[in-house]
Amino acid sequence: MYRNFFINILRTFGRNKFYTALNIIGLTIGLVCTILILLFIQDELSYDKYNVNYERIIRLGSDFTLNGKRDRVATSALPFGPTFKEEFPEVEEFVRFLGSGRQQFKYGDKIFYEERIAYVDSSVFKVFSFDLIKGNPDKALTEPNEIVLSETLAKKYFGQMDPIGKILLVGENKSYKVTGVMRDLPSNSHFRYNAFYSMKTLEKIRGTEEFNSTKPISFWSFSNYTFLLLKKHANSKVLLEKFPMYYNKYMKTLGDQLGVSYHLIIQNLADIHLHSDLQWDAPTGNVKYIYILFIIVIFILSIASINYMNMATARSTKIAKEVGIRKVVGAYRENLIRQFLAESVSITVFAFGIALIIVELILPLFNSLVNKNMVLSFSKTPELLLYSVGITILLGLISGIYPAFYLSSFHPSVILKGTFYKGKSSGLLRKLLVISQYAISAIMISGTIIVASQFVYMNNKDVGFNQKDILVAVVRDSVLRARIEPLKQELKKNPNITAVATSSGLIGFGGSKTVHLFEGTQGMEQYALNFNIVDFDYIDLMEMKVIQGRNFSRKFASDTSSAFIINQAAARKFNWNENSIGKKMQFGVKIEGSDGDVRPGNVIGVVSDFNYQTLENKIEPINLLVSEDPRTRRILHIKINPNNRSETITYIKKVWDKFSPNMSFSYFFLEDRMKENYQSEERLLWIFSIFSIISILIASLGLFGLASFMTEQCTKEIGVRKVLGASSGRLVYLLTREFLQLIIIANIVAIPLSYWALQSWLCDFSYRINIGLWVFVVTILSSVIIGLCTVSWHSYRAASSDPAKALTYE
Amino acid sequence: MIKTNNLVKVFRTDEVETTALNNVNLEINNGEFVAIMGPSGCGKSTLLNIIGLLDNPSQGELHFNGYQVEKYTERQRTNLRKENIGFVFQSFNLIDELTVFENVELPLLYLKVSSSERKKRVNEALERMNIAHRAKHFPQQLSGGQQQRVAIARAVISKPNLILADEPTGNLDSGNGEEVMNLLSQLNEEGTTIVMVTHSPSDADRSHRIIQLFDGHVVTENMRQKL
Ligand SMILES: Nc1ncnc2c1ncn2[C@@H]1O[C@H](COP(=O)(O)OP(=O)(O)OP(=O)(O)O)[C@@H](O)[C@H]1O
Ligand SMILES: [Mg+2]
Repeated sequence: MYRNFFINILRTFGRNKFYTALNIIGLTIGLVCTILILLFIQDELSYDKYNVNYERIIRLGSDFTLNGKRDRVATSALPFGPTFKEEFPEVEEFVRFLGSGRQQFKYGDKIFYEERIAYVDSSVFKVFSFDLIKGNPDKALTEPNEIVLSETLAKKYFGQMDPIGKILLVGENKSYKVTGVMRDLPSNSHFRYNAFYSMKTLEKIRGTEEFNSTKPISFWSFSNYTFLLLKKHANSKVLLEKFPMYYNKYMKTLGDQLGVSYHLIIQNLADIHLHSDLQWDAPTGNVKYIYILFIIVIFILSIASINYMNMATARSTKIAKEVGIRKVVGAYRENLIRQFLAESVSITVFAFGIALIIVELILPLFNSLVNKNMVLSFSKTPELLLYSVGITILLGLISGIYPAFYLSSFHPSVILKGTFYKGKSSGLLRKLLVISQYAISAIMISGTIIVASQFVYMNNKDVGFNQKDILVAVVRDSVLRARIEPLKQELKKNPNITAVATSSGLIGFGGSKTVHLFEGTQGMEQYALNFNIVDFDYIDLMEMKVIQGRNFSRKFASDTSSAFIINQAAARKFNWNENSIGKKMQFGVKIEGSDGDVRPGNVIGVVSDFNYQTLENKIEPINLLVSEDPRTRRILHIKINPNNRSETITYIKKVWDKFSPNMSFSYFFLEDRMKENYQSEERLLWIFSIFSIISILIASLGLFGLASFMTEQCTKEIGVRKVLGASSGRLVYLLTREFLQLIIIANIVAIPLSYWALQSWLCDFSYRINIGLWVFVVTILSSVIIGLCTVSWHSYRAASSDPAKALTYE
Repeated sequence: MIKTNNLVKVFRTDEVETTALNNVNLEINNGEFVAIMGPSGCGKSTLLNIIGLLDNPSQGELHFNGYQVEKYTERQRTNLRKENIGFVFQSFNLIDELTVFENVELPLLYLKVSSSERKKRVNEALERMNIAHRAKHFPQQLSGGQQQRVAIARAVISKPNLILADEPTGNLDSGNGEEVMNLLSQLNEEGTTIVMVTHSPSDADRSHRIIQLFDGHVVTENMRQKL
């Protein structure tokens, strides 16, 4: 029975090589996309689950509202870890991570800058499954000035040597003893650390008493990530329920004094990558992309599946006879349905086989596109095999089910009389199927256009300052910070350097925030305001526009002590609008136990709004202060002539090395760094364009096959018409018209859908393009052109064929 | 074996209504060889299809082997048909993708006959139809006469007691036609009931009885004396 089944299937494929090939190509491409996307999704969902204890690990975040401004951050304060362990029996262990920023490492003659380093508690290896290749996990980070390196870093500095016990020089004057080497963190880890310093180091620097202090102010500085390992069967909800008691004990007094409301955020470790939307989080994935990719998979598979349906039912005239014969000799309808389903499933399974090979070949390319390191290994991830085989079989069944029911419904008596009446319903359904294919393609095309234009828009938007040709170097050397002015003078001697300025924070990456007082209708009011401390040359270098009052100037001695320049957003926020100049403001407020700066003063200028955060954020109020205090001169900006770039950079390096022989020079261009902000959009753009090309390609394959069936059927009719004197042009027109109608209807269906979908995507951006009519005009035009090219070849061939031959053909 | 009672068949396509059969009453006994004749379009094939349980009548009764079958579902008809009826057509109706052997084997597959038994019976039938040497060929590699012999082999493979033949010699030259008619007569002599539609008087001569159809009516039933 089954032997007959499959022999028959193979022969059927053999007889219909052309259509079988079209189907296999379509299904294969569809399955390649599916497997790749499944791999991607599986990787995204696997984040942090390599930790044996991942279900018991949670992270504490903070949700606080100060003066009506709510902030939700991924961090908490240093005392949280120890006090939680003390107060809550559910907590088994805690680990804190406190980032240390970029630092220079030195061993022998090897000097590099390293980033993604954190101070961590020694419990880290107990809580997380970080794999220590060398060193004792229980002892590795227990003493001050101990460091654990990633395998890559260890190789980089020590090569073949055993790093354990070696001393690494860090920064200007610190030294660390290597006590462990850990395997590089897996790529599906939300942590990106390359090295860990022992937390004891920080304790030593700050003093044990100060570091472990539980005085109120230390609970309100959300500087570090706190992870808790819960006891088995403990529920993190209990912590949330009991937290008010904790708050009352440790945080309430100062909280009330500051007028802050605070809520604890608890996140499961495994949820961080896809679901965390907190500030100060490590760069996370986006669950939205998973949905988008999922929809794209369904789109592409539907297109491939519709191809199969169309081509299978278009073959119906041929198949009808076979169905009739089989029924006459005793086949039940189920027998035939089973046979057709076996046909469609075998063809998809075959396509799946080819798809696996192709995936294996193009995976490196895909990996570099999505910036991952995935491997196709069914032994490592058997569920992937399960899903992809499941999807393949389902795809085969779905593709086959309609043809199976349609074809098996033919009545044996009608067929055998040779009077086979073509079902009207099948023609209509086929049209509907073609329409849905082209509607899907149209959605993909318009999606690509919109994502691309938004991307171009973000890259070219007037951000309120000129980011071009600004070289940025972060000054970590405190000695150099004190000698910034002479450095600036020396740099400016080069004619290719047009300006040099410093600031405390880097533009484009959010600001620092602190409580300000401002002159409101009822005296001074509080507001948590972004600020950046700049020098006298900063506003000019950035080419920001001063629209009220004046820029900072060295001529006014008071500028460094009491002058503020705010942006328009701040002027609006405080209701000062056009009359901002001279208004009273105060930077910072005095808090008991803190020695923070407080600076009262007046507004001397207003600059027009500039995007100091990414374009996903609206421009918020910001305050600029001027200072020549070395501590504030962290970011060095050098505006250079775009010509002679490399010579200028060599010059800068030379000057830098003269001023700071211990800390080597490293830099980046502001514009490049700003563009990195839009990497995820760029990636989406790539994904969209690739997959929309693929979906159009598959749909065209189907249309090509369908067109060749229809021309085959029309050959005779064309012959008659030509004998009767119709011109080829007219015939091409007739044949093409039907498909064009379908494509245009498809676009009309697609436009509202894609408008709605894209509008909701764009909603995430505060600065976004408008979806213009032209987008859809281009979409329609391109699908019409593609459709025309696909169909017209057949039409032309049929129309230009010899009429006599066509007539004797049947 | 077969008895019809006021059999009516009406075809409806769009707005046209064709009455293909109109109050047909006839009876066919076990072991008979009946020819159905009549002008083109008079309903011969329609009648054969209904008798062969490929189609249900619009009205009237149909008795088959003592069962009243006119209201049978497709499945019930298939069950009766595959055990009792074999078909032979003017245009042979072999499946192009299957070999001669596989075409003949097909009814046995749907009867769930074991594979060794199938092999035995197919070979016997092919032998008998004198076409065994072509078992591995595909239908299109055979002549019309050979194809029709394969079709007959397929019709008899399930050992049916009724064979329905719709102009079995219509596409064949006289020599091949003769051969096919000999096979049918032989089958009849062995006890198989045969109902055959034909336009050829000489073929009709082989039958016991000729039923004349005209415009959906039975006009005459002509009993013939078997020689
Ligand atoms: N499926 C159908 N739908 C509509 N009309 C049909 C159908 N099948 C047959 N008819 C009509 O019924 C009538 C009888 O047809 P039938 O095929 O039985 O004739 P016939 O006697 O076998 O003719 P021929 O000798 O040409 O084979 C004809 O008028 C035919 O057009
Ligand atoms: Mg007929």
